[in-house]
Amino acid sequence: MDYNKFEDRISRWIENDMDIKERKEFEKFLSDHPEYQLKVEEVRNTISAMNQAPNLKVSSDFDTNLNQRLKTLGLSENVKKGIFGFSNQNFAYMTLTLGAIFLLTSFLVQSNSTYMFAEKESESIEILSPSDSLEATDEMDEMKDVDLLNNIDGSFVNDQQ
Amino acid sequence: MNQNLQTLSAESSEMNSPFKLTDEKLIARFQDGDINAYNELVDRYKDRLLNFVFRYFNNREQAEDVVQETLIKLYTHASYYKNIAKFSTWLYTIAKNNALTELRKNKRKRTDSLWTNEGKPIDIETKGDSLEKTVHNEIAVEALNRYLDEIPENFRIAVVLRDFQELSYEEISKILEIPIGTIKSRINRGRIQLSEKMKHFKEQ
Repeated sequence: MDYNKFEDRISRWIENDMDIKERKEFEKFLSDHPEYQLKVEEVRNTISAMNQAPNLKVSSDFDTNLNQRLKTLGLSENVKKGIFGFSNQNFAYMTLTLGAIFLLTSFLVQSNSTYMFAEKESESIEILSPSDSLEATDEMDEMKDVDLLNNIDGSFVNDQQ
Repeated sequence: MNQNLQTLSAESSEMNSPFKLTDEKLIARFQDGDINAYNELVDRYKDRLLNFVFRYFNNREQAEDVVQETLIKLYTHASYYKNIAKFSTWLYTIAKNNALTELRKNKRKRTDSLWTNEGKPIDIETKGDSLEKTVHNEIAVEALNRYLDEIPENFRIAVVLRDFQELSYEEISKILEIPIGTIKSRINRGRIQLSEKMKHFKEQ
């Protein structure tokens, strides 16, 4: 390895961006030429200094100026506000929630009305006493007899009428 | 909008929570019309962009102007962002293009120093060190910035993106639209040139 190649590889060695073969070659060059170790150290220190350098901060009136420029360009009115002032995402969540509430309410109303209907039916059944049920059975038997007679001789029905 | 910019902290409690939204989620929210998301992005990037753009001009006022242009473009061109690239890469690319356009418009002026802006000290983040250390660091940083300004622009911008902004080689490659190999080479060359200048500073 010559000096130019060595120099080209300094950052890659510092950043561990070499394969093993290249690294060994680089490190052998360094041990053969200790005078260049300082060079590597200087680059490393410079990187470290840049990493730790304080940052500039925007001036205190930056936001106000930006706002003013946006206003001058009439951009604050052009911003898309979503649906009814909600973002599309929030609007979707809201719609889903309302839909779920609607479905739940419909389900509850439906099950309540079914329950009330069943309750009414059971009430009407309960009105019949055991004696009533016997009377009803007798009535049905009589009707069956009439039907039988009707089938045998249609005149019976006519006479009844 | 004025109100939104000034009441950012009050309105975006979710964004200030320890579980911060990613830049990509914020831009998606802004694309959906959430102005607080825009404010949060401005807050996250205004200083970073200033530190980047400043290296093109070495003039704070011009740099701030370009940062504002960039953030206005973020506002007007938000719909152009597609979630295939990192948001930071996209925004830095806009900033770089704005800076280059501005450079073409005006001849570069190197009359400003990092530490003085028409006699006014520049507001910087300090790191709670002793006064002696702070003074020493400030002198070193001043030298670093002065020397940085002396190296070729191609090297300087790549070095700034890597060592000040701490971006990956891939990101830098995309922002500057240059192959990664070239970026690595420029950064290495820039660092070596800078370290040689810094060596002279230490010897003084």
